Amino acid sequence: MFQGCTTENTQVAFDALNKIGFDWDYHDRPRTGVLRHVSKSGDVLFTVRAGTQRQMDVFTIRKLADIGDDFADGHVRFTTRSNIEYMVTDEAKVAPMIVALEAEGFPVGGTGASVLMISHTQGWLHCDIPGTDASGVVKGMMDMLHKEFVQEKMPNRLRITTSCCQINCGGQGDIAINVQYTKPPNNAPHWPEVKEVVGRIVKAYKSDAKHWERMGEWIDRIGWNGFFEMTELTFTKHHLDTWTGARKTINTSAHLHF
Amino acid sequence: MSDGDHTDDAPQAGKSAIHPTPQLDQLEDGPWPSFVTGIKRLRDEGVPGNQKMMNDLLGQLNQSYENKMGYWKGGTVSVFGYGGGIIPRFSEVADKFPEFKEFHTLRVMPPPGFHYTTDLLRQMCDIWEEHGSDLIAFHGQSTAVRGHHVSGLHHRKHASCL
Repeated sequence: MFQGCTTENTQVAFDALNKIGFDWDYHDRPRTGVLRHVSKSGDVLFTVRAGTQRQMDVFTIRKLADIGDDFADGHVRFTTRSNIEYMVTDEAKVAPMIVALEAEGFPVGGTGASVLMISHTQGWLHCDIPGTDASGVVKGMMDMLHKEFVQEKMPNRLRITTSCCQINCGGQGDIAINVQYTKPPNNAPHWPEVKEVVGRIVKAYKSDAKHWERMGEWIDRIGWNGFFEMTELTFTKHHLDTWTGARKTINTSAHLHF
Repeated sequence: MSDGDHTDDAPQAGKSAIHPTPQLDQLEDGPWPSFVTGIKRLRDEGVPGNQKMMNDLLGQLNQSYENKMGYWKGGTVSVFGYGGGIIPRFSEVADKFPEFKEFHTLRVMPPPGFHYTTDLLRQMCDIWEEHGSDLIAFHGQSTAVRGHHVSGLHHRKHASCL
């Protein structure tokens, strides 16, 4: 438990969660977008996860709060990838909550072997050194990948990040995208070029990777030659990392993300 | 400092003053929730003091889309009177979008585990409507709550719960 200047999570977490005491036995997923945690004492907690647009207006936040009041005793949680989660002990509330979320335009999904929401940076909205936009590119890509968000049919979970410059403050993922608009060109507002490249990688991974293989494990197995052949992407000199410290970063590029 | 806030008493953005956003308009369809739709709602239905700013936000962002250019100057300690937790931004095209000339991020530490009560969310919305920009990002990536632009100074803010 946290000690220090911030609040205890028990102050804001769902009361039933505190009662259960975080003593979990196992968890599974009854359907896409729903987690079921079972405690050693037999208590059950359902989590419903839905996608949001990350840059949220107060109307949207209040709408999400209303749904939390109606179904989840006034408690919500946000994930690293800006998904919202509602936790309930009453299974009967799960289905109507999903209906309410989807009716308001929040897709329910992002669990298990799905494509999660793309975490992203500020882009032209607020960055002071952007090579390109972020929110708009992600909107375009999530429209394209929406189907894979609401179903669990990938080999394993697929986490994607995008950044609006090569500093990559967008973080790490199975696919970390640095969108540029010069080499190669990328055209606003629909960003068809980046969508096509990412789409090809997702498609090749989905069709060829073994069950449970993450993106990096799949590429390790087939090799980079196989990757470029299978995705039909052209290998160019721009793919070579010529930075003097590349040997070190390449050797440590498997990330643990908390 | 609040008397320097030049937009709080501003009338709502009139129809004629609304910037056309042909580029951004194309980001409103599709199945994923649209941030453009949300910001437009703030422009049209948000608190009166913030509507003009949202209008200029959309105008500048659309110009970025037209020209493939960002228009923010940043800094680390350049917002007078503020210390850590503020990510300052000053528009380079403030002559065209004066209501959006400063648009800073206020970063707030989220609760552990990113668990919020809906009361807390509403309080944050209320505070940010009064003092900020009506725009908030909640996520756990860098331990903060951001909302755009910080008023109470002479400028506007963007609050973000990172």
